[in-house]
Amino acid sequence: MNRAEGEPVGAAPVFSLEHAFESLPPLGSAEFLEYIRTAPSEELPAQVLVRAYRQLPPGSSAARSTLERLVRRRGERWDYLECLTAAAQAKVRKQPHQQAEDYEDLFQDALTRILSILHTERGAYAEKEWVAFCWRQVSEAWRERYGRRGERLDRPRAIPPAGDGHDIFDGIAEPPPWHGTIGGGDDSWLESLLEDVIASLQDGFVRDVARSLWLGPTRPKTSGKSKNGAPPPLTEQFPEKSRDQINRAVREAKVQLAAAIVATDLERVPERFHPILRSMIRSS
Amino acid sequence: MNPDLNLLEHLCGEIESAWRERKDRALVQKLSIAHPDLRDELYDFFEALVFGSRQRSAKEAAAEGRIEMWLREVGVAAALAAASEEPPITTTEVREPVTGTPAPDAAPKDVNAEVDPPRNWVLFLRTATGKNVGEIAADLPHASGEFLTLVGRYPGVVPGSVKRELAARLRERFDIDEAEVHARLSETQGMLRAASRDRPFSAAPATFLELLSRSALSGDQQNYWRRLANVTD
Repeated sequence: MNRAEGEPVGAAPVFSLEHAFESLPPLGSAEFLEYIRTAPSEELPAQVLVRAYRQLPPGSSAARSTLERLVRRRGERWDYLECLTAAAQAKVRKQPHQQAEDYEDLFQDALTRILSILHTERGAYAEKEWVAFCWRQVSEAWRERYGRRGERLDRPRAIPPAGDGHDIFDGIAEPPPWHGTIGGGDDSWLESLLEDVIASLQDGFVRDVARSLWLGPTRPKTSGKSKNGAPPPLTEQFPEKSRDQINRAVREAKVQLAAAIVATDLERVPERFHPILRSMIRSS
Repeated sequence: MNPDLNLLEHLCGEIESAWRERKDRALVQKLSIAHPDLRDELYDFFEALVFGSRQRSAKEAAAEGRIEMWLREVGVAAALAAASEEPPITTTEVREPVTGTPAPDAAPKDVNAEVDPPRNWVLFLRTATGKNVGEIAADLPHASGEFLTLVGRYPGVVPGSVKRELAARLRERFDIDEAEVHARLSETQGMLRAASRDRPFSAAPATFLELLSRSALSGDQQNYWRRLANVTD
């Protein structure tokens, strides 16, 4: 294998923020205003908008238009604040007793922080790593409300069960199509991908869990009792590990697999998998 | 500052650039092993990079709808007002903005012209006090930054008794001429609907009660203004 561990299976395009910024029409020009109003988000990264916003004269209508684009929402989706949605969801959904009101408060607190520091020195980081910048503001907002370790929450934090979240192949078939079918046809690319992903997992326990999940004839349950010759649940296969540890490993393996698929060149993927992959790539 | 949040932000930034530039998924593993205390958070972050947001619940979608409205009515204007008080700072190379190219459908000839510079209520308050709206609100009884901003934006629904009270408090705390406040509050309605906006704001509050409900005031604070305005639900 020529590529390094963790690198994508297919050739992923390199995305240069510098190039995207240099490609902007002159800041503040009519062309610039039109471009930031109409350019698709994929061609106009948040970091580029932030950099332009921070360079434009404060209070100018160009600055306003740039900021408005940065926080634009169409339908139910934000052009650039989906990472804020993801971060707030990640925080709130770990607390079973937290409500939509908590989500709204957290989202708005974080957004208020972003808007108040974007033009300051602390906002410079957003020119480079927008998602990490937003993520931090959600973390700060969460800590302000609930304490550093969530001590102002009613209940301690909990790891969500492994089944709660994205299973990238739920949309394809159940059980996963490669279970018992690896060896040829459409699924050979999956076999290769799975082997690559498993080999790339640096934590031995996560690797073992992934192997058990993906390479057996049927997928084992996380816990409980197996029946009719099904493989033993993961809690039996890994008795020295807690359920939380198993859930973490399952989740990490799934995320790694999803990342590998998102990074895959669609041309190398059998056509029947394209719809779900496109959907994943869009959402990423 | 939070040292661990600084570290988390730094690590997340590394993961983000590695993913953006080369779809690297090994770094999150390496950093998770090196920083086991942050492992869950690093994977939360990486999961969001790969998947984006999850399916919204109806309540989450509704909450985001309200936040969008807040952005249009208060958030963006407040951010711009705050930014206008400070020179732009950027860590990257600065490109000179164009100042003379008119936008085809925009009324202002200079697209970098100030947004209603002398008449913007928030800017007026900031100029007069040297403080930002949140600090001004903190120095006034029963006020919030959102409340002050909305009063300036929709003075038409603000009862005279409320304007008088605000003007008196602003004079008392900041020595601002009451007549000047009344003048601002009589003329600013609609000023932020500048011609350069490409879409109107969402529906303006039809009543003072509606304005109060959007003002991020506590129940007691809202009751204070209700009593002063002599209005009830």
